Amino acid sequence: MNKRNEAQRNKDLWDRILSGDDEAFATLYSLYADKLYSYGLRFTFNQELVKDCVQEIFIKLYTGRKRLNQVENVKTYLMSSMKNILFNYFKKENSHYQIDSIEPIFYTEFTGESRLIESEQLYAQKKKIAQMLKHLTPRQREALYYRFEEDLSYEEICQLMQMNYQSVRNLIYRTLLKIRTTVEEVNHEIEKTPVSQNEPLHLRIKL
Amino acid sequence: MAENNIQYTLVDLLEDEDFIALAKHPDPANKARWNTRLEAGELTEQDFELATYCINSLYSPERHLSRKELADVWTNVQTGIAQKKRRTGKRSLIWKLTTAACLLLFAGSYTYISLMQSESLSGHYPDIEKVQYPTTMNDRIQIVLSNDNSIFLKETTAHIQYNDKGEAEVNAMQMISPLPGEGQAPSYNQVIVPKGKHTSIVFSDGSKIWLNVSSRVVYPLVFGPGKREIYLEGEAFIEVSQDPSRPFIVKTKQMNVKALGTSFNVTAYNEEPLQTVVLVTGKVAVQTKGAMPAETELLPNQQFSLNGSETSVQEVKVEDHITWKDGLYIYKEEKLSYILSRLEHYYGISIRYSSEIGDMKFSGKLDLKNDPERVLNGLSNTAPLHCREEENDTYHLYINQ
Repeated sequence: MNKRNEAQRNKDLWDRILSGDDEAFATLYSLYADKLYSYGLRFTFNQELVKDCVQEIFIKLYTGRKRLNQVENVKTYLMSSMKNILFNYFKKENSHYQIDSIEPIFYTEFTGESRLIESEQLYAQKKKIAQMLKHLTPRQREALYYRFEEDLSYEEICQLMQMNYQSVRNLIYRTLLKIRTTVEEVNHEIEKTPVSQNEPLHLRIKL
Repeated sequence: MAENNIQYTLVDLLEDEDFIALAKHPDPANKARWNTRLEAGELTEQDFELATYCINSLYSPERHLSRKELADVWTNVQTGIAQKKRRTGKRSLIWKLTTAACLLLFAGSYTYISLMQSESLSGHYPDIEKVQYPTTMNDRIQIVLSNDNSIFLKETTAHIQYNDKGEAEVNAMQMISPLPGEGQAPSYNQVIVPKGKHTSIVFSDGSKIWLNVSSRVVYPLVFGPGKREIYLEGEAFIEVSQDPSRPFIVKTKQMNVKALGTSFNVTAYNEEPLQTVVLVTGKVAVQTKGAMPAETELLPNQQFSLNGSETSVQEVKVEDHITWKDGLYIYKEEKLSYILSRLEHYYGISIRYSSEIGDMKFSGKLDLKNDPERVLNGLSNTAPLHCREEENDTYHLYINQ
């Protein structure tokens, strides 16, 4: 399902929920409960907590639906509900320990498997990129996750990260520049090594 | 390759929504678009490969809810909604909303549901003995609904009451309504009572069952015409409400107890060789299963015992056998090993003792409202025994020289 169809389907579901259609509510649950769970677990390892959050989101949605207005984007609405509930919980927990600011870890893992028989150079570059990605800050990781994993637009990322458009763009752009620098470093290193080891690129990309 | 043709650098590719879409979900249209650009030299193959790698290498360690968890959270959502409604004074039950949509969600993922559906077409109940244990069990009392959703109770005792529509009330609070089609099509619930816990259930026909510790009962939401059938593992005292047209049958692994309107006690723990039925009032017929099936009718104050394949009937004082439901165990000339294993179940403890002690016989009354140490030391009134708590929930019973 492409993004536009998904948005349209969600909007229809939402309208039906607001008009009291319980079947639509159950459908929304079946579509998003697991996704929200999986998303919530990027901020914490506490599975029970995240399950409780999923529960709370849907209970609040149902009992408060009469007061809910039209929501522009159901997916990001649900995701930001998850994030808000979790962060409120973290803040409450942290108040016991008197920590002023928190930045929960955003868990992702980077692996890469090539579909091609690749050159030494490409292999080295990928390896370096994978290493570099591991050292991103939580916010960089979170932004890249939205962009590459969830296919979200910059506007949607703004909403979830509560940052303005330019800041999100800068955040992502700086991360991408880091990737480029990594690639260039590898190229530079390889240029310095003897020619015999520097295999030509054997790449055939077929789409 | 015409380097000066380059229009997409690595960073450009990573920023391009169309390229991200290609890397994640290639389709003929975006493939054609980017192939053309590749051939025109607007991007290098290396950048193409690296960009694709970056986008797809953001491998996410996805953790998913199991179907069971998904169904459990859904049940909790409904409970939560129902409770909120109740608080705001609205009494309408949310459970209606589980309806078709819910069945749609979870049906098919449960072979059990589909089994029941096919059975219901032929108009027969599926075999009650074949109802599976739930996948998750813990130290809480658990009610398994017919869609395999589970409700776990925090309390050590639970009282569950069904009305004739198959709606249930748990501890006079929580309402559970049947799913649509339940009640018409035969569907079973089950209750699992762990060590140290007790539960009583009033069935849809008004019959009542007291479940002792470590027991499990499977029953239909609403009894069908012709017979009332439940399946039991463990110990239960049952008061059957009068209905001559529908005999009440308690099935266990090794026997069936058939009653009309009566009260009786059944002990049928899977791991214990001795299985008994004690009749308090009315009349029951006990059928044993196995190679030599036999039927025995009991009169009040009689106990039927099945030990391996040997059966016997003897007169007993019924109070001794049913007082457990009021927290009292009464024994007469009973082997201590049997009594101690009952106590282990009741309190959820383990007791260490020699075979010499296990073979002792004991008569007397144990008040289970006391803590285990006191009950065990109470044995020393009739025998030279002493008890010491070794560590948490482990007791050592030894002969006092």
